[in-house]
Amino acid sequence: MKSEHAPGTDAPDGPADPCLELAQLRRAAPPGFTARVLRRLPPGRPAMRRLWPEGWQWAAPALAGAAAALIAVFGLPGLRPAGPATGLVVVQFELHAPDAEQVELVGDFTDWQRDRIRLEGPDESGHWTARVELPEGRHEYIFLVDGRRWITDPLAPAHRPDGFGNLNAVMNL
Amino acid sequence: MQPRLRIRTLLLAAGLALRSAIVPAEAPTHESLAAHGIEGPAAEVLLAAFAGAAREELPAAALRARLDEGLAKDAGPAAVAEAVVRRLEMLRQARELLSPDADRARPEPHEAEAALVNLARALESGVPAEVFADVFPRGRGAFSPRAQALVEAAERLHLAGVGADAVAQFLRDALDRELRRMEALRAAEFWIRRHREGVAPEDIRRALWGARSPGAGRHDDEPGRGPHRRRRNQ
Repeated sequence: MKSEHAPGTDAPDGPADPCLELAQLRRAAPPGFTARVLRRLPPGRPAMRRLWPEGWQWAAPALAGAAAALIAVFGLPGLRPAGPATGLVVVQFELHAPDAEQVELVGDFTDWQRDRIRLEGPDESGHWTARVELPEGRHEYIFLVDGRRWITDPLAPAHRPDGFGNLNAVMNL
Repeated sequence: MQPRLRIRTLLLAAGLALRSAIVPAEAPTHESLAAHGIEGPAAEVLLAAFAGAAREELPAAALRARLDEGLAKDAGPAAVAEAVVRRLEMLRQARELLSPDADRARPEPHEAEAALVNLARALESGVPAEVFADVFPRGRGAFSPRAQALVEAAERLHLAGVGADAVAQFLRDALDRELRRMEALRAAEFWIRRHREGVAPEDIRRALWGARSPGAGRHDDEPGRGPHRRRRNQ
């Protein structure tokens, strides 16, 4: 079988140096060539002037930069850094209130806002219930019956005065 | 859009962003307080409390929670202001307790805030600061999840009427045994049950830790874990 050698590879009679071959091909530029090329180039602005925006062009990038700096320092308003990942726990709340027309659950997990979690009921035994998914940790809550009576969960593991004349339930999940 | 109009819009947006960044979203205003019937001295006290929290880099969200709780419960302006100021004082006290450990532990901001609020709530519940004072340096940092669980356990014990000395001893024992979160809380429940039965602290301690040397790891049959515990979790 016959093999062919590409230029620059080892020939059977010895290796050829490609750098030497290229050096033999090099020729000097004719006199005045560089000056002629530069004369034909279009005139341009100085480098510094091109970098500096004219008129009000600077406003947008400057404001964007200032906003980015503010966000970097203070963070986005309304957004908090993510806390440690915690598991969620389904908790069943129940209250015996056979005469109630409406029972709500209000706590730190509702940001102490009403009308977020309503218990269902009453069942035949007078119990109101709600199943709520909560993150692990400490939670404080209280029931609101008929929109006017604050009732402490008697089944909660702990209670503490809320400073407003009621007892909050405290649970640790 | 005209260039001038574009510039004005950008300046307005930058101004709003700056204001939002400097004034915490949780902070109330005269108008928002007045909408809930809080005006005059109580409003000034509340605004000063939020300004103080911002100045001292304390979490305004913890104050906002107390404010929202008071508003939801239709509490009087003076009571709301008092509750918020007390929360601020507890945050300050909590930071004093945590500061020595913060230099060593270098917690993330969200960890530091969670620990601060957790401790402040425990103090607010009446747990004496001395209970925590010599406990945190024993563990691997007051900002760890285990330390947070112990703060909660201490609050539970205190609310159940367990004395400060016994609570402090419980925390030391639990720290030495490196209890996980639920282990610590179940151990606290065990202590509370025995306390309510009238058992002396030393006897409870012996029953709780007697078979478990420090660093012994997890025991699934530890006291407090069993069907007698009220199952709220499904």
